[in-house]
Amino acid sequence: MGEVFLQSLITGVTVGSAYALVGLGFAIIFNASDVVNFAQGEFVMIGAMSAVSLLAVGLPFVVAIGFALLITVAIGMMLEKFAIEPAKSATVVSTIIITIGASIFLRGAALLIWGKNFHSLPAFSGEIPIHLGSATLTPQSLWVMGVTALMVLLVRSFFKRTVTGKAILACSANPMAASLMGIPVRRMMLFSYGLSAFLGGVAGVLIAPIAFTSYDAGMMLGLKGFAAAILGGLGNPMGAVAGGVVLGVLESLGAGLISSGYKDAIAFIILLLVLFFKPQGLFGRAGSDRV
Amino acid sequence: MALFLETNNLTKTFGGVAAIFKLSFAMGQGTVFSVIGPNGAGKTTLFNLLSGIYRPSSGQIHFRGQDLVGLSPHEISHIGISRTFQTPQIFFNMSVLENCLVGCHRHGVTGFVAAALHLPRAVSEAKRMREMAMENLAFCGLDHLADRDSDALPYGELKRLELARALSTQPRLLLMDEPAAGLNDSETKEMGALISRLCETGVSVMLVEHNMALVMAISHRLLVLNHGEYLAEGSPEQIQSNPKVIEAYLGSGDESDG
Amino acid sequence: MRRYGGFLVLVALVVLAPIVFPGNYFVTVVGVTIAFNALIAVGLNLLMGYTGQISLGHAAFFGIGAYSSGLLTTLMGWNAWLALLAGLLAAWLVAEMIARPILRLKGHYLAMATLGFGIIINILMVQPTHITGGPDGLADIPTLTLFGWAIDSDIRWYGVATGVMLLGVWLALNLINSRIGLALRAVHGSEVGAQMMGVDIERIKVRVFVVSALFAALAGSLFAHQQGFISPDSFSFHFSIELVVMVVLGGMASTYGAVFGAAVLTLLPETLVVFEEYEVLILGAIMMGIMIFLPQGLWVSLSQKVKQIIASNRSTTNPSAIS
Ligand SMILES: Nc1ncnc2c1ncn2[C@@H]1O[C@H](COP(=O)(O)OP(=O)(O)O)[C@@H](O)[C@H]1O
Ligand SMILES: [Mg+2]
Repeated sequence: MGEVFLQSLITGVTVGSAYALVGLGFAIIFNASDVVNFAQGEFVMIGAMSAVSLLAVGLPFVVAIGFALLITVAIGMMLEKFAIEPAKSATVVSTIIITIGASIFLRGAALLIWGKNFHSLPAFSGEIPIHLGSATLTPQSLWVMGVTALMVLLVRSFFKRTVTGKAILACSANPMAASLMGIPVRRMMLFSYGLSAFLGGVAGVLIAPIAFTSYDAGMMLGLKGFAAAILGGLGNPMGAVAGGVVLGVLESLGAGLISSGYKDAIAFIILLLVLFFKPQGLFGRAGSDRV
Repeated sequence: MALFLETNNLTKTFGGVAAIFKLSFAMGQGTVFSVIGPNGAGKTTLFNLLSGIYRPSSGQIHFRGQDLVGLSPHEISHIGISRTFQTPQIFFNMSVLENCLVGCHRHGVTGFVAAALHLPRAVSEAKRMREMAMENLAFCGLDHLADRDSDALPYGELKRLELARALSTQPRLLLMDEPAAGLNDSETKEMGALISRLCETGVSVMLVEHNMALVMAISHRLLVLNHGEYLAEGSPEQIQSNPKVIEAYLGSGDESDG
Repeated sequence: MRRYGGFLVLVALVVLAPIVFPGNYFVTVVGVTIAFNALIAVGLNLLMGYTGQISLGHAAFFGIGAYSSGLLTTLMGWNAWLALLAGLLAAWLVAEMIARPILRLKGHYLAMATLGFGIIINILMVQPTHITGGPDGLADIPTLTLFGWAIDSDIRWYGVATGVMLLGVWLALNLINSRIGLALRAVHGSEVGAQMMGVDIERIKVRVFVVSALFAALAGSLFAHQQGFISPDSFSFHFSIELVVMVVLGGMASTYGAVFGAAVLTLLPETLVVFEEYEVLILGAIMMGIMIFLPQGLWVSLSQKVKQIIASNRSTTNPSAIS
């Protein structure tokens, strides 16, 4: 029992790290533009698939990953430029439909480029597992957790310490005031989308050696990332990170206890329970509408 | 006999800050009763409490002997209280007449099944409501605009539409939150006349308004709030000469030109 | 009776199509699918278009109807009509149960909750393989019999499916033009405003959610019998999204628009078979394009254009009509 628990915990934190990165991307975009970007999961897929292709044409590993991330960032910015910006005054429902449309569009494009086959990346530093009792920890899991932690810290200090980071926060608090203060709001938007695409791409590259990737791998990851963001309280970046890890762990514990086929169901049941009983998220504060 | 409307130690706090604090007052039937006070004094909050949108942190509200605390807005509407809003809550996806027809909602009984099957009683009920709504539009001088889209209406007419819609619920008490805000002089006069006429037809009006000329002209009694607390109450003449009021509110000057 | 003019046109189209194009694949085969999709879209439109409450999980109710009919007739040997009623009842119960907590949410939260609900129900179709047949689906569902008359040909199914769809459209039109319809639209316009007018918004949202679930479940039951085979793929998140697109194409808050949207979106992959692999891409592009360039929807934008043209013709032929 104890070992099952430990193994689930390891798996859960690994997968949860990917959710955390996607959730963090959600939170950044939501903060900057009040848009919930349903295409977030596609960044994960694009990062992973591009890395696979670039590696296949013979680029060195690090270079392939670098370019894959660049491609993902470019697509994130194009999404902002060509789909979000033109629909500035759209309602919540319209932006939901636009970003779902974007996600389907990107998936369709991936299908044309890469076909329906499954792909994977080689592990970053070998496959020799580390034994902890009867549970095992792969080196790739360590990469996932380590890089995620690093990303989270970087993003955190970016928003706390840099001028650009603070400017983005100002845009989210009050775009009108921010633009009056001379902050280029549109450029900050573009930057936010680029940043969250980058985080999604990183997640994709990190987990591609563990989970197979294919043109439609982004959807479920995106939804889980969204769930993570809501668990953490929509618009709370560090909450989204915590929400991702919590979701990953609960899901893999549940899968161990019940059946792995119900893994996704467990994640969404948790999400519904949180939405019903604590809609401001596990770590958020309640707000109220004004009339 | 029970009082028309009465509050007792009514308090509403937001995160520890009181927007309304231990407020007790009574309003008589058939009057225009105005609530005045500087911005942020808690007037809108008071309306939200009376109309069930907020639940009091403590204290009581009684309307014709009935306890209102804990009732939801639609229940309060059925008891005979309606309101207009500081920022008009028009149904912009509907025509002028349709807005008013929603006001008639509480007089109808047609449910999903009768409506979907287009039963004769649903049809005759709809016809009755249409007449009622048209009457109220006419009362507010909007009957010629009945089929217009409400989002095409100028601001002054939106304010009157909100009034017509609230009247369609046939309230005993109508709460009006800044009905003249954003109106020009002649529109303000019309609105004042409308409110007075309304009161003559037997609807009691509680009014929040910054335009002091209007308030003093049409109110029977005034309640003055300051920082959520009771400051004074009395007839327009008494309030105008009350030193506490002059100091807290009228004295600060420029509120009255809205 | 002006408002039923459109309905008569729709009836005429439905009746004339198989007469003018007898045995045409697009009429008697695709037409049946269009009718089912239109029925669901008209119901969803009541919830989404008129009441303003998004649902990204309505494929679940379609599936509940389909699996109730499929399972009860094949495994338990129930009469198909009883199974259909049971499917409606099941959808009703599920909708009633989740509607209250779900519809208290708004905007993104509502979208996420309905989406999660849809995915959970879809997983419940896939996982208990020994009951539902799992991802392979459920086969050998018998066809329907109406007064001893087996509905076993394309044209008979066309009659049943479009008949039920027209009934659904008629009910929806009546509902929207009633006291209830006004209240639903008021909820969309301003929730506090509607409450202050005496509308019990929580209750009416639950009711319209249930109605839309019943429309979908009815379509699901008929779909199961018509196809004879169902699998979880037909009731996935992807189909929920397609339903939303049908409503959006129709311009939200237009019943005929929802029928139009269902027709367009059902015909699209059929006419694009040459570009089969582009289907996903095109669906995504349509969703973005419509929302960015025609936020009113294709149907509403088109019908406004038509009205303008008619109006300008009138004013040129009859100068006294200028107002
Ligand atoms: N929903 C709310 N949440 C937090 N504070 C509120 C809320 N509604 C009102 N307040 C506060 O209560 C006080 C009174 O506001 P309000 O009733 O709108 O004043 P008035 O209508 O007299 O201008 C203000 O300080 C306002 O910030
Ligand atoms: Mg106010």
